[in-house]
This record gives sequence, structure tokens and C-alpha cells, in this order.
Amino acid sequence: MKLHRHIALVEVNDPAIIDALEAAPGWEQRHLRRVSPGAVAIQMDQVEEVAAALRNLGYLPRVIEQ
Amino acid sequence: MKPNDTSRRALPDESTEWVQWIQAYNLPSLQMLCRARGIPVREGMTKFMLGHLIASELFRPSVLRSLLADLSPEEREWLDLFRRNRGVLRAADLARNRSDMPEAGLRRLAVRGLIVPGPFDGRVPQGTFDVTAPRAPLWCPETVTLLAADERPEPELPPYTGAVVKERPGDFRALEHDLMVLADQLQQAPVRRLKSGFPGKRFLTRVAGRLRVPVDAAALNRMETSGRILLLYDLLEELGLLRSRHDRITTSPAIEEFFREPPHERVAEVLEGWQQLTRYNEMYHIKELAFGREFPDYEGGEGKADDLPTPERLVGAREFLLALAGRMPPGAWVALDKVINAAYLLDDGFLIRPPQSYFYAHAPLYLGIWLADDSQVVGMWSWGIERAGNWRLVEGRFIREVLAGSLHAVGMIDVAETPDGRTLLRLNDLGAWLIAGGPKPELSLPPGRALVVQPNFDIIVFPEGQDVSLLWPLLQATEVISRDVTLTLRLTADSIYRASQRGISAASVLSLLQAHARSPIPENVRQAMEDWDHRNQQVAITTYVDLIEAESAERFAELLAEVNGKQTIIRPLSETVGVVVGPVSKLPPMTTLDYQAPLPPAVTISPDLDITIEPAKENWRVRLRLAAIAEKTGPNTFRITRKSVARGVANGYYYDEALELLRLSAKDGLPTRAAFKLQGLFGHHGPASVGEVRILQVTRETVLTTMLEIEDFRELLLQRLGPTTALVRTERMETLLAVLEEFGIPNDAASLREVRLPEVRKNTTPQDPYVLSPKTTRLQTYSTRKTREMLEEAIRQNRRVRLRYQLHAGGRTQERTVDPIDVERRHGVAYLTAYCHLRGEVQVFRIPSIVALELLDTPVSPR
Repeated sequence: MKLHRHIALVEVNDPAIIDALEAAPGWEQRHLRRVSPGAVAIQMDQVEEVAAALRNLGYLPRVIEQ
Repeated sequence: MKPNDTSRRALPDESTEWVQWIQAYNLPSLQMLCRARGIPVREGMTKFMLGHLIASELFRPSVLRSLLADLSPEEREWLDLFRRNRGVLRAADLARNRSDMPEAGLRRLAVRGLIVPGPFDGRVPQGTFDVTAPRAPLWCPETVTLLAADERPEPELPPYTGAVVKERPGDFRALEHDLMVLADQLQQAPVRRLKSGFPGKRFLTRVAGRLRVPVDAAALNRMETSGRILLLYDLLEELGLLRSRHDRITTSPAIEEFFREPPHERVAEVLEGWQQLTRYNEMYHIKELAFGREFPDYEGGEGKADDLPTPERLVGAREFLLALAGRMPPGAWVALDKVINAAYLLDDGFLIRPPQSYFYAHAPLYLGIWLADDSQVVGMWSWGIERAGNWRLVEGRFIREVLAGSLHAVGMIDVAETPDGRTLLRLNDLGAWLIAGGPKPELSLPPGRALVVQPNFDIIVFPEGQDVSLLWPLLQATEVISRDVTLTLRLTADSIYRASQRGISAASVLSLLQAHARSPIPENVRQAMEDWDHRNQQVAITTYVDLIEAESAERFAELLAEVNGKQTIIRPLSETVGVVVGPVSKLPPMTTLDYQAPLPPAVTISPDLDITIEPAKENWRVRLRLAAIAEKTGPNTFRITRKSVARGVANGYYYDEALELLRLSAKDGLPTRAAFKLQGLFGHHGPASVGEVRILQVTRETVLTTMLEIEDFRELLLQRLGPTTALVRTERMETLLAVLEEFGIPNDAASLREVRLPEVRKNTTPQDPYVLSPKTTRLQTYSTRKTREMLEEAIRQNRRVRLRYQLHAGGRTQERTVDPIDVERRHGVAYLTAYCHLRGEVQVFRIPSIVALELLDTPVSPR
């Protein structure tokens, strides 16, 4: 059992959004970790990058600070 | 030196006159007065001091009130006679009408200060007792007023009915507009916090031009002297709307809620916030005064060497003045001096209490307060402002600053002047509602008039619509095109995206526009905003979350059942992963890791743990982590050795993480021999070396490769040994067979060979790590401190420890055998890092949760 502290979680309504994100150019290097069909765990320092990528895909991600 | 203040009370010229008077007549009465006031009168007390004492303290309303309480019925009756005659009595009349009132009685009253003889000539006169005579002190009319009420006087605040000029209505909308401008500026460009706690002058110049109530930024030296801006800034802080981030001041998330809440709630919050301000102090805005300290340091204050009010006293003074303002007849003008008089009679010590000690020569002075003209004269022994006769200069001006300054600024009070320049005050609708409990005024913006939305996504906001409840969300969700009489804004996908980061959704902006637009929203704008809202709702990135990852679905289900009782602690995302939504402290102890993103396959690992990394830029993370446990043998080569492992362990790098690093980053997999060697180097007692295992043999290499790609199998298989063989834990065999059947893979349980793993360590103890030590001793309970000391001792002596651990507060306990590694303190709590033989991994234990322990004689394995 492991507890990963202080990560960022991308949650989507439609898993296809994550598929699109993973398929986006340059994203094979980011190694997003998909923890469920609709959720991806990323590091905190990747938040802006991921948000920008989602923005480029036409989505307007909400960044919720815990 | 002395203020040119018409309100100054006409006291005897010098204290010596008083001293003579006291000496000539009745010093014992003075002593009685001093006793009543709790002031010690001792030999050696100078006449000078006595004179000042009388002049400054004894005849203040609060003192008079306490003296009146001590009057005998006879004395009370005599005073009542004065009251009925408006304070003027002729001795002859007295002698004729009240022969029972002897001269001695009059003298007693006079000495007590409750009446004062007419023309002051140093003796009690035989003629007229006239408290309205020019030389008579003013306190006698106050005595008469005090007598008029049985207990607490209710001074009147009569309405002013004369001509009014220079009317300045209180404007709450201007205040909240300026609050919004400050907040908007701080949100757009967070500024560095100076030592004083304020932003610098550059910030002032940026906002000065945009404020509804203009501020001459060029004339401002510092935030501390900036009056209204300081009030606005401190209000933002007091209301919790600012926060520091990386040493810069910016707005807090609460700001969105504040500007979106109903205006009545916002007004009430602002008034309450102002009342609680402590850094903003109206005293420092009294132009006539200077203060001993350049800027308040309230750690001193009352009881120390100055009369600056403490924060509590300042807040209490504002509360007192709010109650006083509540007595003003709503909607009618009242002269400020009448309000000041009323405050004097009600509680003259509401702001600065009389000195509690008279042993210092400066007792008759306001300490730490000087006239502004004399501000160059500073120091303990310099002459300050006399308490006697200057109440209206210090406390009176404070009242002016509060009522005509702050309460006017927050929009509760209108201010005007009489033609001869006296200040007038009036409670407006808002003040009458909040301060005097009057009817609730209408504050909401009338719908359908404020703006127009054009098909090109421009929004034109008319002057009557420039209200914060509308402007704030619009400014967040749009780009400003021009600021003029009308405000032109533009909606874009980017601006909506920015707004969503601040919690403002496109749907809420659309409904706001629909409510306030003069004409229907163009169809293309409406559709675009609905689409933006849809795209916004589809994706959320939550930061700073904690993720639980279980090794199997069963373990995860157990954990959920254990912790998700009345309160949801873990929200499952999949069968083995969940998000911690409750306090982490509710979780059982487990390995805590700072999350690292999965690593790219970048290295080649030889069976002897020689590692070659591809020199690609994106492999920096692997390179960094490898450096923690391996020696660098070349530009792109590493080797894991006993020495490098020891260094890694010393830096908190354990077997699990090392194995995970190699497994995830190896391009061609981790060779079995290398895995065993790694175990040996770490001296690991992990699951792979424990108990019985079986070897799974498959017919073709592709079968095993495919199985390892399926998560269900990957969890069941301990380790791949070769192309067609893998290790399986015996206790998981049944599950494995069931899964094989589920996936339609033919199997033969008998072909699964049962083996024991070879021992990979030389210095291992013959004891199975899962078998607890013989219980020759009993677990004992110790204090947390003792427990910590014993664990530190165990680490020093290299001894294994048996302990009973409470899984969570008030919950069940579990017995563990651990090899202690380190004891450390984090956030005030001590933690033990140890290799747990039950879990087969390094775990962190909260030391206060260790309910009992014993140190075993068994040595820990070398690490």
C-alpha cells in the first residue's frame, strides 16, 4: 500500500479526452499515468503543461486548488 | 505649545491656585477623593502634581459619576436643589429657603468638585454660587446633567435645522468599487510585501488613477500615510480577501465569493471588518497630533509608556462610537460637536483611560502624543499635551476621524458643514439600517439596464451598471477594451478559460449577462458561451491531492471498508487506486512517497547491475534518480555497488524505490540475476525471499509476456525468472488458477513446482522473518518520549523491535516485528522508519501510536 503525496489529478467526463491528450504530439515523453479510464495522475510541476495541452485540444480545464 | 482649541475647558490658570484652595479649605476631602479614585496620596507628592490631578482627572464625568454614587441622601438633596435651579443659586435664597443647608455643606460639595463657587477668588464666597459665571469651570453643568439622570445619562443629539453647505453623501458603492480596483490589481499583478506588511509605492501609483475616490499618488510617501488606500487595503486583509504567495500579495479565493454575494451581506461584512481593523487607526489621521512612534507597534500600548490605544481598546472605541451614532435621528443632520459632547458625558475614557499611576512627573500629560507642530520635540521628558482640557483635541478629533472619516468612507454617514464651518453628520439609509436598526434599503442593481452585448462579443457597460456585483465577474471573464464613461469589454475563449481558473463558470457569466442586458444576448454569443461552459465542465485538474495505491483490489477493498465509515476518507478511482479526500491522519500507516511520474524506458541493465543510459534529454529524471543509488562510471554509465547502495539508504532511498526505478526504466526488462543482486545489496527481506513460492511454467514466451501485460496477472506474479517462467506466491495460487480459467488459458496445477528461493544473503539469521521471536519477554507500555528513546537505542544497538501499533486513533492494534532504521520528527510528531516483517516493506510508524514495545535480542539484518 502506497500513499503518493502532493500530486495533481486530471479527471475528465469522457475518457476520450485523455486518449486525445496521450496521443497529442510530444506527449509520449510525459508518461502520464492513467489511474482509471477517466483520471490521470501527473506531477505538480506538470499542471501548467497539461492544462496548456488540454487548452490546445480545445478544452477549458478547471484548475482546482486543494 | 497649547492648542488653540475653543473647546478647551476653562480651568484655573495654574495648578497653584488649586493647591492654595485645597490647602485653605479641606485637604482631607481631597484625600477622600483620591481614595475613591484609588490614587495614593502620600507625603512628598508635589503640590504641582496635586494641582494637575485635580485639574485633569477628578472632574471628568466618569469621576463625577463615581462620586455621585457615594453621596449621602442629604448631599444628594442639596445637589438636587442646584439642578432644579439650573445650577445657579444665591446664598441668600438658600439661606431663606433652605436653612438646613449650612455653609459647611456647601463647602463640602464644593470641595468634592460637584459645585464650584462663582468668581474664583481662592475661598468659598459668601455671595453667589453661579456655575454659569465666566470663570466657573464647565464641569458643574455636567454635574447638573449627570444628576438629571438616575443612573446612566442619555445625552441628547438634537437635529440641526439651519442651512447646510458642502454636502458629501457617504457612498458605499464608491468604496466597494475601489476595493474591487485594488483586488483586481493585486490579482493581475501580485506585488512584493514590504517590511511594513504593505505593498510599495509603485502599487499605489498603479491603482491611484482607477479609484472612484481619487488619491494623489505623487503626494503619498508610503502606504502607512495613504489614508483611504490604507483603509481599503486593510479592509481587504481583514475580510480575508488577500493572501501571500511566494512573498507576494495577491487575492485569496474568497474574493470571488465576496464580490458575488448579495450587496446587503457585503455591506454588513465591510462595516464589521472596519470595526475590527487594528492596523488602520483613525488616531494617526488627526492632523493636529503627532505620535511618539513613527508607526504603531501595538505590542506596547496600554500599561506601557504611552497612551496609544491597544487593538482591543481601538475596536472597543469604534463600537462605542457606532452605538453613539445609532442615537442620531436617522435622516437628520446633527452637529459633530454635539456628538462629541455626548461621548464625553457617556464615557470620557472610551479611548484612552486615565493614568493608573501618579508616581511619574508626566502623569498629567498624554503620553506618546504631541502636537503636530511640536513633533520635533520627542522623548520621555519633553512636554506633551496636558490631559487637562485637551480631551476634545485628542479624543474629540478621534471621534471626528471615525464618524466623518471612516464611517463616511464606508458609506454609512453623510457629511456637510454649517455656513460658519461646523461639521454636520447624518445617518443615511445604509447607516440607519446597519447602525440604528432602521429599514433595509434597496441595494441591488435593477435588472435589464446595465449593459449591451454585441454579436462581435463586445460588452458595453453603461455608467449605471458599473456596480461590483456585476463588474467583478465581468472583469474576470473578459478583456478590457476601453475605459471611458462606458466600459467596453470583450468575451474570448481565453478570457473564459482564465475566469474558470478563478471559479467563475461561463454559465454564470452568461446568466449574469442575460439578467442585466438591455436587449437579448445574440444567438452566436449565447451558443459560444454554452459550448465553452460544456468544455469547461468536462475537464478538472485538482492540485495537491494524495493518491492511495494498493497492490491488489482485495487490499484496496479492505482499506476502503476500514477507513470509509461515517466519513468518506478515500474516493476510489479504480479497483486499486483512490484519492484521499479526508484527513491523511485517518489512514493506517503505509509507505509514503512523493509522487514521481512514470519513467521513460531509458536504460539497459546488465546482470551485474552495470547500467547504461541513453543520452537523451528527456531521461534527466532517470539519470537523477539513478545517481542516488549508483556510482557513475562514465558519461552514460552507472554501476550499483554496496557502497552506492549504502549511500542511497543513508539518504532515504530504499529497496522498493530502487527496484521500481530499475523495473520501470529498463528497456529490456530487469534481468533476474540483477534483481537478486539488488536484493542482496539492500539486504532486503522482501516478499521475494519469504516463505514458499511456486514457479509458473508456460509453454511459450509470448504467453508469459501477454500475461504480464494484463494487470490481474501482473499482481499475482511475483517476478519473472526467465522467458517462460515466473514466481508465484503459494497463497496466491488459487487466485491465479481462477484467473487463468477466466482468461481461457489451459492450465495444469500439478505442473506448478513448489520451490524455496535460494538464500541471497550471507549473514542472514536462520529465523524466518515472518515468525516472531520467542515471546520470552512481555511487551510493555512506555511514554512516547521513552518509546522514542528506546527506539533510538535499538537503532544504536542494531536490535530488532517487537511492537504493538494502533492502526488509527481509537482503533484496533496490531503486533509487528520491525528492524528500526531511523527516528525523525516531522511537524512536531516523531516517526519511526523501519522495515516491517509483517508487510515485507519499509514503513513509517507514528511513534505516539506505538502502544507497547520490546527490544529483542535478535540483531537486524545489515543494511
